[in-house]
Amino acid sequence: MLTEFLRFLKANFWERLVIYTLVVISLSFFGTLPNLLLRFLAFFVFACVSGPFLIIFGRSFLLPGVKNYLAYKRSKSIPLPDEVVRLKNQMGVDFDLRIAEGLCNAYVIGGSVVIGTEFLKKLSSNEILAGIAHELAHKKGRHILLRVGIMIPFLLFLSYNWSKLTSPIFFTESFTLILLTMMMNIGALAFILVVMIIPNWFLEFKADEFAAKSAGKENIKSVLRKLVNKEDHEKSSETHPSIADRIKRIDNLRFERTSE
Amino acid sequence: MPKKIVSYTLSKRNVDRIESTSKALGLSRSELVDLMIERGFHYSGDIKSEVGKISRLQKDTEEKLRKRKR
Repeated sequence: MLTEFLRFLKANFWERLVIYTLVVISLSFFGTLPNLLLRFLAFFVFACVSGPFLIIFGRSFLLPGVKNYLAYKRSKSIPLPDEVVRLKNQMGVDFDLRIAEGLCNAYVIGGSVVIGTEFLKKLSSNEILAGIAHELAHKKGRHILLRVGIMIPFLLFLSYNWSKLTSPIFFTESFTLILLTMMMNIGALAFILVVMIIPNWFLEFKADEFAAKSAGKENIKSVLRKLVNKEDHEKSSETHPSIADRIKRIDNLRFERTSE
Repeated sequence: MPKKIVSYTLSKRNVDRIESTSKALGLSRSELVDLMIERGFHYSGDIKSEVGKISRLQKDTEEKLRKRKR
């Protein structure tokens, strides 16, 4: 039973998508259905899927986010090597290069590109440059700002629709209010995760394209292959398309490389 | 009182603590630059000499701390 439950929490992308959709739909049904019994049935479904949803959210988004932030706080800024200075001038992005010990990935946070020592050890200099170019593409394209900009209309749409929801009173009015607020926050989180999949994937493809142009197709493909285990190449996530898809898309790109 | 503070600061326990803290803090900037060079990146002469100076200063300070303890 426990192993089944743990396997369920390691849900693949499509299973997770079903959980998110169930969270949103059950909440909407709970607030709109005319029959009280059906409402409680919707509430039961919501209660069943929101637990696994919160665990998945914590494990897949919250913990990695906190881990990356702590690694950023512990990371050290280093002078830019000549090759990175060339890339910086070519892309026209100002940034601070930081190295975090023990980390095996790269990400952009504020005005800094953070790379892990394990990332450095695993890849060649050209591949490292391709990884940095990918992160710089996110910074140059203001992808975080874009994501927030895309989220806002969706959240407005959601708050407009959910403002019409009604609920039976559970015990007391204030308890019902707290419960509904919690339910709506969970529902909004699930909704945002689903609707942001396509924009997130699009922005990742864009960053790959940029990295392929500045650091070479083979280098960025090699980074993707080396950083993710082969058995996980087909797996997509809410924030990134699968490695196989990304490589296929990079292969289909037609352009002149901007630097050698 | 100041003497007490100095002797407390340089007690074996504290030197050990400083050492363990610096280990916990991880690689120094110069070591990180060395790692970048090792991975095939290049730095201009100025940066290399500055980093070299920093590394030497770090080693000297470490040495001084050990000597003071003895």
